[in-house]
Amino acid sequence: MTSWIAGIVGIVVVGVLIDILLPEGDSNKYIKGIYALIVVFIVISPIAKLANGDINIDNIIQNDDTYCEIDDTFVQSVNNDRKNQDIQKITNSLKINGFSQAKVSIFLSTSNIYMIDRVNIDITDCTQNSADCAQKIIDIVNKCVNCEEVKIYDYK
Amino acid sequence: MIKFKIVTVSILTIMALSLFSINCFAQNETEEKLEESIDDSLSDLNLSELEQWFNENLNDKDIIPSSLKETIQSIIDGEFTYDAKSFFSLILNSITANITSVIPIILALFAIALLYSIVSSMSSNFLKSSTKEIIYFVCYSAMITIILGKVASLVVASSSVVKSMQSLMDKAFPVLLTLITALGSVSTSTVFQPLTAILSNTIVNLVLNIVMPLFITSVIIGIVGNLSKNIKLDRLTKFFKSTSNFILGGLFSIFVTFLTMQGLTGSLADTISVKTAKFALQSYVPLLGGYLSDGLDLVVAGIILIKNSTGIIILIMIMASIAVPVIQIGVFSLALKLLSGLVEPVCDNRFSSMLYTVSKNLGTLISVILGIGFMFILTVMLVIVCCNLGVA
Repeated sequence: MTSWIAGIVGIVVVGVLIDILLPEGDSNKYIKGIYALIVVFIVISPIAKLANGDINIDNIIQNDDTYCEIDDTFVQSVNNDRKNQDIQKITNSLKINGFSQAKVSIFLSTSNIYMIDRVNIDITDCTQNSADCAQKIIDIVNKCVNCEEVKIYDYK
Repeated sequence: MIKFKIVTVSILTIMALSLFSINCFAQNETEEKLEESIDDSLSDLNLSELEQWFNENLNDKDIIPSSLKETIQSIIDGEFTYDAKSFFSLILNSITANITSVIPIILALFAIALLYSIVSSMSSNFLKSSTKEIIYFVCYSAMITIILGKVASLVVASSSVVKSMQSLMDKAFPVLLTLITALGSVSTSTVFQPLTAILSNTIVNLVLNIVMPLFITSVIIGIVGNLSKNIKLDRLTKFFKSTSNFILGGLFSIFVTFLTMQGLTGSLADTISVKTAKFALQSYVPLLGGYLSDGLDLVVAGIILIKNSTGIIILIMIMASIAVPVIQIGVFSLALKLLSGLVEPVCDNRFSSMLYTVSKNLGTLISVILGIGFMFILTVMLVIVCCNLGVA
């Protein structure tokens, strides 16, 4: 493109010089006609290059697949905060329903997105038996968080 | 009977007061927990690259007075004020400084035009009319040397602003997308990732590699076209200007359409899923519903506040980085238009035409900066508006 612009600038300067230096006479109009043809030729010269398909789009747009990396450490830290908050929430809810000694642990999925895979409830220290109140505990947990699986442990 | 009324009113008042105090206590406790959550999240958030960009490119204490984390905290606390007065005083200062820097160039150009006018008025005494053409050629060359020097510096400034905006995007989007991912908005995050890559990579590179060369070509051909009376290149200049405008307009339209469609779809999917979770909580746990759903939002609410405050700071950074070059180009363009008007009655029409062509072409340069800035602002604003799960 630079050479093309330089060509146009050059031919226009030559045209000005022709105007200044060319003597009056019959040959004047022929010289100006030839000059006009040269100008047109220079102006349309990049079209030939375009028609040949010489333009490489990769030179214009560089693809970068590694762009925009997410800070996994921060996301994990927020997920941990949310996990602790959910543990607190389930513990409080269980306490209100009479399982004050229940121990809650939450297992998250391995992805970045906060998803609870499993909730473990240990009611060993509680007075109730797991056989009697399993469904009640599962209901309480499901009301607090969305999770696939609730496991209840009772080592009494 | 009166005693009974007094006792009833007293009991009701005491009940109302106790309910109010319980409510206030719960509110204070929630606020404290929220502040604690924000402090924790903010200390974990990595803003070092964004801070480095600000120090390298702007570093203006009038724009952001303290460190980014402190500023985010002050926005969340509602202490950060950015009034219209200080913003306009910054713009006015920049305009005044640019006018002062443009005055010598305009005076020099006007002096050359006047000189040509004086010399050409004596041309009736010259033997050949071509002598007048030589004088025109010399004066015109002197003028374009001065103008091209300034235009080249503006092109360099514009390219560097576009590149610095690209670098800001590279630093800002990972932070914003990290915050969106932390909110659990998987659809929005998946949508924004390719979108921001298209903006930062494809569009900026297309503008830098196609629109900017077209602008330079348009300016040069516009100047050269007025060199001779016989060679007219006006239509060619218009062709390049139209092509660059067409590419810019096309890029912006496609991007905005894509952004609107994808952004809405992604955020809608996330909002629906989260609202379903909240609805389930509130409807199935009647007594605890309020407490639980409020508790659900504490960490998330903190992240939303941080996301929106970071977005606001990024918006301020974008506006501050594009304001100066846009004012610079705008002032020079207006000055050239004024000069074109002043020169028109005193000397050759070609001078005035050349000045006006350059001034009109500078509009493309402003469009480039404003267009990329606008797309960037739109994306950041969409990030601010999207994924406000608790409040949407």
